[in-house]
Amino acid sequence: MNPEQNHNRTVENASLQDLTPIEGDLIIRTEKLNKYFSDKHVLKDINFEVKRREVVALIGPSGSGKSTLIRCLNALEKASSGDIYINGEHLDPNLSVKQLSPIRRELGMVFQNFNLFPHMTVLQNVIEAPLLVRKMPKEQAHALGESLLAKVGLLEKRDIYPGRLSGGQKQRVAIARALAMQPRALLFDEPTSALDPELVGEVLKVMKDLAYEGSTMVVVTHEMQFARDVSDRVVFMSDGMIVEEGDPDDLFRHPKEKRTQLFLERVLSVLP
Amino acid sequence: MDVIWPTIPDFLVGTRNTLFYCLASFPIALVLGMFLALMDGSRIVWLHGPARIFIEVVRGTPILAQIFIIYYGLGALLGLINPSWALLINVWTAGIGTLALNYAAYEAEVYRAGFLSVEQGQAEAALSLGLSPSQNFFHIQLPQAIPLMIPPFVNDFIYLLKDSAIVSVIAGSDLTSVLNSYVRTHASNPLPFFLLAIVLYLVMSLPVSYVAKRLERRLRAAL
Ligand SMILES: Nc1ncnc2c1ncn2[C@@H]1O[C@H](COP(=O)(O)OP(=O)(O)OP(=O)(O)O)[C@@H](O)[C@H]1O
Ligand SMILES: [Mg+2]
Repeated sequence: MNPEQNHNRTVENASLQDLTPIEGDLIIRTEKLNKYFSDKHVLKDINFEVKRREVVALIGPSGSGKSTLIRCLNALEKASSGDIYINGEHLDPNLSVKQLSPIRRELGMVFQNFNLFPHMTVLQNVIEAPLLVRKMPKEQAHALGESLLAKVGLLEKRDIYPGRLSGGQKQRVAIARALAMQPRALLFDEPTSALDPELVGEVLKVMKDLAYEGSTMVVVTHEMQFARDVSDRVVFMSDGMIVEEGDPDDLFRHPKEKRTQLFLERVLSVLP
Repeated sequence: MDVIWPTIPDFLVGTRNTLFYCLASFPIALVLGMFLALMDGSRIVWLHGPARIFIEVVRGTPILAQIFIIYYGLGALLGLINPSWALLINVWTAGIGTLALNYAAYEAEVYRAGFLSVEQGQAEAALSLGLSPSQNFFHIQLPQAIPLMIPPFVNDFIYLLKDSAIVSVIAGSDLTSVLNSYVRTHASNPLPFFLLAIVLYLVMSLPVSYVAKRLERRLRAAL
């Protein structure tokens, strides 16, 4: 892959860090992943890979299986057949919840509806998992939590309960909470879809910053501009299959498959 | 009025005993109810099955029958195994036991409803962060479910104050038992005794109602 040709973030920030995805260093790999909900075939032979430092945008029409795919990666859904490897480790569907825990921590999940813990303050939300799961000493956890809240611009909200935050602020806390476990990759399931339009920007900005720092990310999104500007690779899903994938500029400008063309025509008609 | 005054000490003892039945049986019902709810929610059939059967049988049969079965039936059964065990069943243990088992079935449903009303996404967030099932239960689910369960618990306690009158059928020396004995001896004019008992039941339940109302308002405001 030639970095100059295919991602803006490398060009803009080349001075910061090398952001080229690392060949051969696969954080996520699925092999012939299939998922059925009763007899409904929702994922069909999905082979999906994410390299370290890669930002992958997952796009496709409603019901195409995008959420199901990333939920399988985190074992929130059980794959019906096929294999999933997270950082080389096999996500065996027969593992108990306890055995799953160390693999799950490798991936941070950001949900459409935030799913913040309403009975905990913002800071507690962020440090709960480091305290319980990583057994981090309290002071260290506090320092970590505060630095992450500062990173997402919400340090002054540390002692507030989530119920009093705006949607955009909630999602930024949720991102900080996911980062606190220092996962190898972040999975986002339509992180801005539940937000009022004027709040979308602040969340995308945080995600952009993460991308520029070299985070590995999979983003299910309807924000085509974001997919185009920030991702290294766009994966288009339809009907439970990966129909087409590739460099964002190529895919948006010259989609090869009919289904991709139709989908992009529909969603890009609102873009310049 | 003259007939009432001398009986007041007896009625107060009855009131105290009623409170004792309730205060002893309700905590047991809360603990048993939680185990029942956990068993009921389990996917393991031999945990889920017995819990479900217990809940349905208790809720589907009269408490009157339950207390007779425990007082006479269980006492006799234990006596067959070992004569000294029959002594374990007296009006106090049978009364408290019946009320506790009966209310456990109802409280199990309160727990169930409480846990069901915690959003599904909470568990997903917890598990995706790597929390274990028990950490998810104690740190995420329980603290969110408890505020939802407190108002129905308090309500059920008020029902228990009234339902505890059932121990009078085995002469449990509670408020209704005292009432019954005076009604029998003053059959020509029992009305004052009924009024006195009603007032005493209200004296027990009204403060609890009041606390429940305030709690409910506080909890709703916090949401
Ligand atoms: N728990 C479930 N039980 C049954 N069917 C489900 C379940 N979850 C998802 N599905 C079905 O699986 C298909 C894929 O759903 P999924 O949520 O993965 O789509 P998506 O691409 O994320 O769509 P959207 O853009 O609307 O979020 C849909 O047809 C959906 O109805
Ligand atoms: Mg979805």
